[in-house]
Amino acid sequence: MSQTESKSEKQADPVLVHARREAIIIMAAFIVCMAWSVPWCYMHGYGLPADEPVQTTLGIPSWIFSGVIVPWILASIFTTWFCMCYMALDPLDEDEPDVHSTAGGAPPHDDGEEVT
Amino acid sequence: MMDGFVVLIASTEANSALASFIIYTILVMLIAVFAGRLLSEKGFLSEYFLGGRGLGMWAFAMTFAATSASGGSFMGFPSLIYTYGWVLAFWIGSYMIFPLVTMAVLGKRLNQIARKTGAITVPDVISDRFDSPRLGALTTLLIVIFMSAFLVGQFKAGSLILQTLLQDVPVYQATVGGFGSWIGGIPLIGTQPAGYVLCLIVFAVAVIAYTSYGGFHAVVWTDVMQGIVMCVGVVLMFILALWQVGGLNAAAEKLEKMTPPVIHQAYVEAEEPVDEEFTIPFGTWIEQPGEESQLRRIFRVAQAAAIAAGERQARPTQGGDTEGLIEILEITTPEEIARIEVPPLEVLVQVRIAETERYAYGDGQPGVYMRGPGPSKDSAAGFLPLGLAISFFLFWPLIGLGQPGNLVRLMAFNNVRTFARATVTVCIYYSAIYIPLVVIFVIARVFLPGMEIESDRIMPEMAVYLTRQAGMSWLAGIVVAAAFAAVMSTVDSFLLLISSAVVRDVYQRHVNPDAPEKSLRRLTYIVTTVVGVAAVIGALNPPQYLQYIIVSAAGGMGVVLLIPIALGLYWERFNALGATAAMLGGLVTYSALWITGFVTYAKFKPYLLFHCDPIIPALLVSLLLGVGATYLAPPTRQAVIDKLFYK
Repeated sequence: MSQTESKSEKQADPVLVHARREAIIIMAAFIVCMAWSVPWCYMHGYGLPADEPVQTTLGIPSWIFSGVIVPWILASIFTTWFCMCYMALDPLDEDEPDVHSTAGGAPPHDDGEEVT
Repeated sequence: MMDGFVVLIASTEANSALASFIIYTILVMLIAVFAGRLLSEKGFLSEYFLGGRGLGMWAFAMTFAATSASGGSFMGFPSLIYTYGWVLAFWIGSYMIFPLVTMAVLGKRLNQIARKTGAITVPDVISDRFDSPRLGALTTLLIVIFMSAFLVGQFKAGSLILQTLLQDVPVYQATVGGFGSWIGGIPLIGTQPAGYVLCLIVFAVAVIAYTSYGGFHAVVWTDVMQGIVMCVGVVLMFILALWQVGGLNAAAEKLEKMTPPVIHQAYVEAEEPVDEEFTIPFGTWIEQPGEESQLRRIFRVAQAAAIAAGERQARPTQGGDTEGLIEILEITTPEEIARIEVPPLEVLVQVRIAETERYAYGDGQPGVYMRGPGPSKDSAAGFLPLGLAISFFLFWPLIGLGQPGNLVRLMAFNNVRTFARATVTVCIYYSAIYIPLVVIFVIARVFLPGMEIESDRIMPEMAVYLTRQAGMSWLAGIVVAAAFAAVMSTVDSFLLLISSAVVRDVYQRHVNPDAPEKSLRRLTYIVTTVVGVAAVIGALNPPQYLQYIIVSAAGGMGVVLLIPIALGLYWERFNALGATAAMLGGLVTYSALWITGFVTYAKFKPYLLFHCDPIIPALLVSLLLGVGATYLAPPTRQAVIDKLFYK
């Protein structure tokens, strides 16, 4: 590829495009986890009256159960879906065949895009 | 007859621990020998440091998981759970998304760029992406500094675990006695407990030998074995702990009544002068009548002491106060005071309290181990105030993203299908490890009161306690091996990272680019060994706050690498000046906050700006400087950008 070639004529590396989009979604999921866990634990587990016993669920303080255990289970389900059904199986080497699917066998979320 | 039976049981338990350790070490060595043979058949450096980029799903998942789960996870983390209670589940809460963030945000792209450039190490990637060998050299330097600090903490953890595992083995006790008198006169070493030094050396010889000889393949395959051992160990402890405590509800009832201990500086005195020296070992329980409504008071000695012949007053055996003040912990929970059985001492002693230090948060508050922010000795805001809770939620995934040990593994998987499945495996694996760890060591508060005096040892102590109570003492060796495996799997990876930084990034790139493979191979073995020995020397003067050392070094590595790597992979305009500014800006901010904390509190502790961990301001500075400085210099050479960003 010539160095003088304009950017609009070049095609962005599909691995870059897919990986960048996946990274943004993962960071968004991370923020959702935080937005659930931190306020929930703070509102339900901090500053509790000392003269009342802490409520428990299955022997775990309820604020930990709802603020950590439940989102943990949901985050694990999301991780599994993301890796098996959403993540594109991009070839990493130029000689690796382009299989165009996900680890679970579903079609990938999108193809590469032009850089403008 | 009964005594003989007890001795036999104790001996069986001790021997099983020794047998477990020996079998485990032999297995690790066999794997290393096999891996070493493989090296001779393929290209040396790529095979030795990266396994030829051919890791399959299980190998990749287990080496990633086992390397991340370090001595911090199996020694420091249990220690914190024991000391602060259920709030640690919140402290570690972001592990719910940790595997996805640390693996999938950078993994695919990093692996691709490493393939395109032929990079073997993290400094290789930096050097090639920014077309700047100088920046590569700076990265190498920073990795070596932070990793060395991290390694020292890990070596300490390895020695502590081995000590607990072997402490009842007669052969070990005899060896420690002889070894102690042998090293007594040696400067630096002679002042340390002989058991600590001996275990440190045994641990170091094993791990340095197999890592040096077998390289990355040995590290990965031993990681797979160690990862399985860790998981089995945690699951066994989890089942035993729940069964023995009578379920989590029963544990919660007891925790709800617990109050933090009180720490005293006190004189310990015999009623009359003793005829011959009387030693009061570390951890000795002392009981004495209580005052007014108290039935009795229960103390635990946090400093070994002795009463000299002809005297009444005990004095610390190592260092300590010249007037004879000894640090002592007092149990304050009434149910525990009623329950603890104190073995009688040969000499009747009394505790006379001189000074008392109470918890700054949680003192006298029943149930503080069930609530946020958890008790704290030093901070009136508690262990985990809101600002720190937010920081730690961000801390684990962001710092995990920038760990060189993780980054180099992301360069080693063979294809994206492997990568996706491995990420799910690590997610399941962490869920099976971290939540059970919290449960196990919250329960440890119920079974083992007074362990605040040496909470770093709670993991092996709990393993021994649970298996002994279950009448399956032989299991202790396997369970403790889990913690040992965690430390070993991290140490081996980091040893390799440092030696790759020296051999590949310094010697081959800057000193002798045409070095023949034979001399590279020889140099690699030598450097790996020398780095290991240097870390052992550092660990001979053991750092007290293991978790803080591990966390600070890990934080430093993450702060230095995260922004340069992440922006470098995804933003083509980002250039060498931006990356350098991001690296140094993060480093200076992070170091300044630790130094300010050390000066302010006279402790190994960071200064918390707005109650935030130093990594948050350090990463913000790194990002701002990185982006700002990028626009002060031209982009990276177009040929490099075309190769890495376009099809």
